[in-house]
Amino acid sequence: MQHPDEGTIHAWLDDALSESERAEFERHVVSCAECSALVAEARGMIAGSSRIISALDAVPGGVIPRPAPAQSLSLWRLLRVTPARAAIAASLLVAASAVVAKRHDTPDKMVPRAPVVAVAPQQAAAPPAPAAQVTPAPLAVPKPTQPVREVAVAPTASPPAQSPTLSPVEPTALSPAQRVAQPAAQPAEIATARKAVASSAADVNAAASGAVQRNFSARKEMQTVAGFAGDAVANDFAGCYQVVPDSARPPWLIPDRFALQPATANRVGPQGTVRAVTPEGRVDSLLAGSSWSVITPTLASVSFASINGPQRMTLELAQARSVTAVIATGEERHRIAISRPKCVP
Amino acid sequence: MNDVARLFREYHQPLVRYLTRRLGDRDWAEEVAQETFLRAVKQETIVSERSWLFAVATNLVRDEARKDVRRRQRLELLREQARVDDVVQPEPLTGERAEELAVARKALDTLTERDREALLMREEGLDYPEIALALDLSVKSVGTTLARARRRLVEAYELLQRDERIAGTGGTHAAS
Repeated sequence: MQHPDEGTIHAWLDDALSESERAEFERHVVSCAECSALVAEARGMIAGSSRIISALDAVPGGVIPRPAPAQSLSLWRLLRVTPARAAIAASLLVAASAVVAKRHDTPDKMVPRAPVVAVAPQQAAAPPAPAAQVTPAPLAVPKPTQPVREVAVAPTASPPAQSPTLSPVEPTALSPAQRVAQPAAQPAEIATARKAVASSAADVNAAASGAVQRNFSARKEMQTVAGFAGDAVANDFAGCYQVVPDSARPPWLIPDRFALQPATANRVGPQGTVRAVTPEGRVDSLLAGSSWSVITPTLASVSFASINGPQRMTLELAQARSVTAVIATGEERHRIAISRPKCVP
Repeated sequence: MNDVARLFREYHQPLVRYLTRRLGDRDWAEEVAQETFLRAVKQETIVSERSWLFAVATNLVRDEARKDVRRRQRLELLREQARVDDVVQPEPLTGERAEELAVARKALDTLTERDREALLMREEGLDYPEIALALDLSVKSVGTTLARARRRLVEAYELLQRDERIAGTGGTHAAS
C-alpha cells in the first residue's frame, strides 16, 4: 500500500473507512513510522479543532440573560448598594432633612428663631434623641413577609427600603448611618420623600424580580447551551469517578478511573479537563484530547479520546452528588454504574 | 412530515448549536432552525433526516447571508430593546474568554464556506455520507475536506493567538 493521504488518515480516525480499507490502512500504519507520526498529528488536529470550535459556544453577553440566583434579587444587589454607599446616601438624606427642617423653622424670614423652637420643640431644632430611642435597628428591619412599601411609610426611623432577602451582614453595616439619619420626628416632606423613594425602590425591586422571572421562563431552554452554566454547577461535577467493574467493557473505551476538573481561567472555552486517577485514588496526568462540559445543572458531557474517535459519556447528577452515566455508541445508549470516591490529595 | 415533533426533539439542539457556531448569533440561529423545521413540516418525505435538516439550514444561512446587513440591523435593534427591558443584565464574558471566543471566530472565518460547514457538521456528529449528502460532495472527498479544514483552523488559531500575545506584550512594554 502507498502512504495514505491526509484525508484517509482523518477518515480512519473518524471511523469512516470500510472494513477492507481500514484493515489495509492499519496494516500499513503499524509498519510505517512516518504514517504513525502523521496519524498522531492528525489526532492532535482533530482534538485541537474540536477545542477551538467548542470555544465558540461561549455565547457573548447580551444574547442570553442568565437567571439571577435567589439572593441576587435583593434590592441591595440590584441597586448595587454597598454599606459605604448607603452611609453616603444616609448622610445626604440627613443634610436634606436638615435643610427642609430649617426651612420649616423659619417660615417667615422676619420671625426670630427662638420662638420657633419654643413652638415646635420636637422638630429639627430639638436636641438629638437619646441613643436608646434612636438605635432600634432590629425593630426597623422588615419582617420577611412585610412589604417593603409598608416599612418605608412607617413614621419611625427605618432603613431605606430593605428587601426581605437582605443578607444579615448589611443591616449591621448600615446601623451607624441609620443612627445618624434618625430625626426625633419626621417633617411631612421628609416622610413623603422617603415614601416616594421607598415606593420607587419597591417598584424597581418588583420589576427586577418580574424581569428575572420572565427572562428565566422565556430563556430557560437556552440555558442548556453547553458551558453556559456557572462555575458552581461545574464544581458539582468536579471530582473523582470510578467505573464499577464489569459495568463497562469495550467497545466503550473509557478509563476505569478518571477525574473531572473545572476549566481554569487559562483554558480555552467552557470545557474542563479530564485526568487519570491512580488505583490509590490520586489525581494523575491529563488525559490528552479528553474534555468535559456542563450541559445543564444536572447534566454533563464527557468526551474521552480514543483510537476510534471521541467516546462520549453523559453524567446525570442525582441527589447527594451521586451520578448515573450513559455511554453513547452511535444511536444506542448504555447505562453504566459509576461511583464517586474521594480524590486522594 | 407527520413526525416533526420527534424530529424537533432529536435534532433541534444540535442544529441550533451548529447554526450558532456557524453564525455567531444564538437568536439568528434559533430563527434559522425554526424555519428549517417549518420546511420539514411541509416536506412529504425525508430520506436522510439529519442530512436534510443540516442541508436546508445551511442553504438558509447562505440565502440569509445575502440579506445579512438588513437582518443584523434589525436584530441589533431588537437586542438593544431587550437590553433595555432586562433589568438584570447577563453576566458578561470574562476578558480572557471573550478574547478566546473572538480568536476562535476569526480562525473559523478564515476557512472556506465548504470547509467550515463540513467541519461544523462533523462536530455535530454527522458521518461522512451525511456530510457528503448535505454539502453535495462525494463521500471520498469528505476526509480530505475535513483534514484541510482542521489543519487550517488550528494553524489560523495558533497564528492569531501568537499575534494577540505579541500585541499584548507590546502593549505592556509600551505602557511600562
